[in-house]
This record gives sequence, C-alpha cells and structure tokens, in this order.
Amino acid sequence: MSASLENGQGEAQWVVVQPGLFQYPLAAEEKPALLAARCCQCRRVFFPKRRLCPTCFSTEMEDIRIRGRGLIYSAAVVHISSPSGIAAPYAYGYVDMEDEDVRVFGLFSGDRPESFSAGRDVELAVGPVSTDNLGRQVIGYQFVPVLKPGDPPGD
Amino acid sequence: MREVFVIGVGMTRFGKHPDRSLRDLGFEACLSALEDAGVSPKRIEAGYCGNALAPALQGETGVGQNVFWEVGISRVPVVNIENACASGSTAFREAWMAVAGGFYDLVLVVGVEKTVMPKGTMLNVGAAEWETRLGDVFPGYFANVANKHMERYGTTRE
Repeated sequence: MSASLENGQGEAQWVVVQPGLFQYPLAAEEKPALLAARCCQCRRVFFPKRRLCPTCFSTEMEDIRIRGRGLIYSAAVVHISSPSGIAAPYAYGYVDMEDEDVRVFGLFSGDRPESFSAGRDVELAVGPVSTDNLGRQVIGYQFVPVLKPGDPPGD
Repeated sequence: MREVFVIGVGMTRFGKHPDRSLRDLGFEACLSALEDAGVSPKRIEAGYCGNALAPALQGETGVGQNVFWEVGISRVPVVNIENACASGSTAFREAWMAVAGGFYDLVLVVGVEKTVMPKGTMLNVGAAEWETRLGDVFPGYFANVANKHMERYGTTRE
C-alpha cells in the first residue's frame, strides 16, 4: 500500500498530502481524478469518500472518480504562508464540479491569487503543492484556470 | 428547570500577554468574578473552563484544574471544554445547564486563551486534516465565507 503513496526506492522524493484523495501517480494520458463515493441508495456524491451516507444512512457506497471542470463557489487569498508549508500568497476556496453534484475544497494555482473569484471556470490538476521537512515534494490536487481559445499561454 | 443568574463577573484586559501564563490570566479573571459576586471560593461546587488551543500552542492540558486551583478551588468537579471558537460559550452553557438542572447551586465558569503567534506566522491549528495540509487556515476559511456573503448579498467591508 505505502509503495503507491511514496516513491520507495531509498529516500522518498515525494509523498501525497493524504492517501485516498486523488489518483496518483497518473498513467500517461490519464486525466487527474478525485477519488469520491456515491451512495448506492440515494445517489448522493461525497468527496472525500464517506462510509455512511448522512442523508439516507446507507453504508452501501460505490467508488467513483471526479474529473474535469468546475465553477468556483468561493475564494480567498491568504497572505501568510500556512503552517503546513503552502507558500504565500496563495488562494483557495470551494469549487462546484461540473459532472457531479458536489462542492470541493481546493487550492487555486496557475494565475495571480487575486484573479480567483466566484464564478470562474477552473479545472482539476494534480501536482506538488509544498515541500515537507524532509525535503520531499508534497503532491496534492489543485484547481487551475480553464484556458479559453485565444487566451495567451500562462507563465 | 430553574432560573439561573450571573451574580458576578471579572475579566482581564484583552491584549498580548507574552509574560503571563494561562493560569495567571485565568486566576485574575476568576478572582475578580468571585470578588464581584462576594462569594468565597469555598462555596463553588463545580468549575467549567473553556480553552481551545492550549494543547497545541502552550503544550498544556488541564487548564481548568490549574486556574481553579490557583484561586483556591479544588476537590470539586472541573470540566475542560474545547469547542473551537465556541469553547467559552459552550463552557457557559454547560454551567448554566448544571445549575438550571438542579445539580449545583453555585458554579464558576472561565474562558482563557493565548493565540498570539510569532510575527509573520499563521495560527497553527495542527495538520491532522487534509484541508489544513492543503493550506486551509482559520482566517482563510472565514474570508471565503465573507467573500461569498459580499458576492451574494452585496455586503460591504464596513
């Protein structure tokens, strides 16, 4: 199990922020995916996964993956680096996913932190978010702007 | 259910208190509340102490026992209550319930907290939860709530 969470040979170079949140590593051409659950009874979707549906109390859950785009529900900019090592300034908030009825917490990156606000189109990405005290890259998920045709390439 | 009365209050000055302990701050507030009520510590039947972050920031637990002991209250039930930002009001509610329910006639409630961090660092609330590891911080969460409220209802900064 842990072999898939750290790259094990000798000193690990990376570690995921928490197992079970998103697919990692990704196969070639595989799109980033959040690991979520759907209640088999009432069809409600949960991210992260839950073992018991708080709506209908069923414990029958199926694993699903959530990919792709969403709309920012709320956002804020943090101007002091977080104790967990996310470097300031950074933006984070909540995203309503396009394909599933679920609101997801997430960091925003790929543009100026101030540029993220409610209503913006973003897309799920997976990659390093910080470095831990052993010098390993911490792999997390983020939301990045959706590039529209004609947009200049990002920096 | 009985009616409950607040018969005495006391408070320290709000501020940064780098040279004072939680025990010391709590002592001052408790002593002035006892004096205000004109009640001897001997008559207190139970103590309720609200505190959220002492285990994380001061490495301290059992804050209530220390504070109440300092003010001469021991050998009675003491309850420490951690309930995030609502720790103090939860302690107050528990004390009210105990008196209203007829379990005690006279109790003491205190809330005490020191959250000043070194300049340029964010309040450290641990890293047990994945959101925290991904950058979630108290001010950032409340900023999200405020920004959403401003967007939806046109609320202004003032």
